[in-house]
Amino acid sequence: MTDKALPRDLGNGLVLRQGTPKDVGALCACYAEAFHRPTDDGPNPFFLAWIRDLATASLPPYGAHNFTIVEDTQSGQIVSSLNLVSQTWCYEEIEFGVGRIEPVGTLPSYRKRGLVRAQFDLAHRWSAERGELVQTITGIPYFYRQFGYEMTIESGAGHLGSKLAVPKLKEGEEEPYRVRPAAEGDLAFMRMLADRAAARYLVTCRRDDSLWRYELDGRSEGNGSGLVLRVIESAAGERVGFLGHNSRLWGDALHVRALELSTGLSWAAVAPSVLRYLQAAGEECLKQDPKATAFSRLGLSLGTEHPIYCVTASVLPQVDPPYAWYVRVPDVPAFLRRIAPVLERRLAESSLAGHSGDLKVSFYRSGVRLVIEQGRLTSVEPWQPSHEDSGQAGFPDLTFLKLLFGYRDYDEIRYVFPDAWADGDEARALLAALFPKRPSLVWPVA
Amino acid sequence: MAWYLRAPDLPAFLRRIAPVLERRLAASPFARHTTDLRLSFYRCGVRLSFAAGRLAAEPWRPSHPEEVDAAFPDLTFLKLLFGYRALDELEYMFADCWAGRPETRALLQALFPRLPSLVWPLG
Repeated sequence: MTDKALPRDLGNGLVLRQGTPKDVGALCACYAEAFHRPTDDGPNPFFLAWIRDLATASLPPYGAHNFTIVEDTQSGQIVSSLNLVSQTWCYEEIEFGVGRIEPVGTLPSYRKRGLVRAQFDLAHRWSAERGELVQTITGIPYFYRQFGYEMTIESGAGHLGSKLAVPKLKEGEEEPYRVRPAAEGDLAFMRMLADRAAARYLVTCRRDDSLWRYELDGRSEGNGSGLVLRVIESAAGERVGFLGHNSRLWGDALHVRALELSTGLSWAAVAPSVLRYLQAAGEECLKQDPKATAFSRLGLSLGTEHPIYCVTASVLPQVDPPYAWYVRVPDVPAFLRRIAPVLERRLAESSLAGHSGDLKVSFYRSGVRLVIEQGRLTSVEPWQPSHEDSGQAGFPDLTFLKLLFGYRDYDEIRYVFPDAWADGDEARALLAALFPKRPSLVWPVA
Repeated sequence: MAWYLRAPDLPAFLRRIAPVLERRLAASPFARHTTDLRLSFYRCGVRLSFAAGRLAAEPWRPSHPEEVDAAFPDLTFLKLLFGYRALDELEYMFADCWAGRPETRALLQALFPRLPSLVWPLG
């Protein structure tokens, strides 16, 4: 928990240290100032409640010790900080540790001094010490590329439409499905549906029981980062699904971030009831939030692919394109070894079932060698490309991550990056079999 | 394969090809359009100014996101400039490549269409 290599002198009276419970108030003050915009009429209370919860909640991903802090020793003020939220994500069914960096803030007068870089280095070390193979962050475009990240897991996509387009109940018709607040007794049901739905995606975030409970009612009053969890049930009171939507309007829209149904139930049958619930919930959000100015749209922010989209296309015709998670994989061979069962299954289900051979993939300055014996991935090791041996495939910079995380396929990468290549039919077939393009949907721990 | 290209002074190159860009503009719905187009390359940028169908190009440093009309990470703008890939294709590959308003997109598409090249070089 305690980093004995800290504090570290950064020069000019600044020290880098680990957060403690005593820092919570000063951390909130730092983030409030760092994120202040001239048009704001004061600190955002939802944002500050979130920071406070990140620093004080008693579950493992949380706590002040996860914050890096740069302190000006002359004033004692915290001038820059970031937070590492450890969590478990899945690559298909394979779990792997992720260090999510969120949020990052620096006071305006302390920017462009390398403070964020120093803290990223520290957070990367903490994450590695926790055995996490991947670090991620969502944030402003381009900035985090400079710390070794590639934008390569889709985020934020969805479908939107006017609340006025929501189909109304016919006169005398009763709502076939009802939406009610979720309770502790529903958590296992919701977790089961969420875990099952994860098979639809390549990368997802997995919660244990304690995190599900935290999502339900663990956040403090005013923390707007969580989802409002609701259970969908039939007219007879049988649970048939769940949903999670934001607790506040985003602009003029209420967004759904999680929505799943029990097996064997028609999305077309349930969707109208869900949309009518959201219409009412949006009106309530507008009423409750004095800063909200309008509610006019509903958003199903469920990634690029979700079964409800095909039955809501005319109601929610606006397609919101995806943004992307920044992803860092400091040890690609280790990550490939971690997901070996997935790769072996893909191979077994392809025209290369039972394949034996090497696949040396060059990243130009480094590379990886995969040894496959009768369909088993027997070895994945770092490999150094050379003038004499450039391998069977090459990907410049971090572009291999786009392939690895199913963000883009080989042909798409090759189309934009002429120095991405695969030599021969066998190498191309192997890459296509091992790394197909697949959607991801990450509802992160935050 | 592809030629490696380096354009150390993009505003100068854009001024050099201004007649081509002005002709493309004249043939588009933006003929004789007057507007500024601020292109961010994140660490630097260029401002294209169109007035009565004439182009000016100057270095420009992006400071606030709201000032930016379109953004291209690293050297990806060169792919657009040299007709190698279209705006949509770049946005699809790079999440931090974007053009905000529909007018900006249409203007960029008019100025920088995807076109094949065929170079028989000296050497």
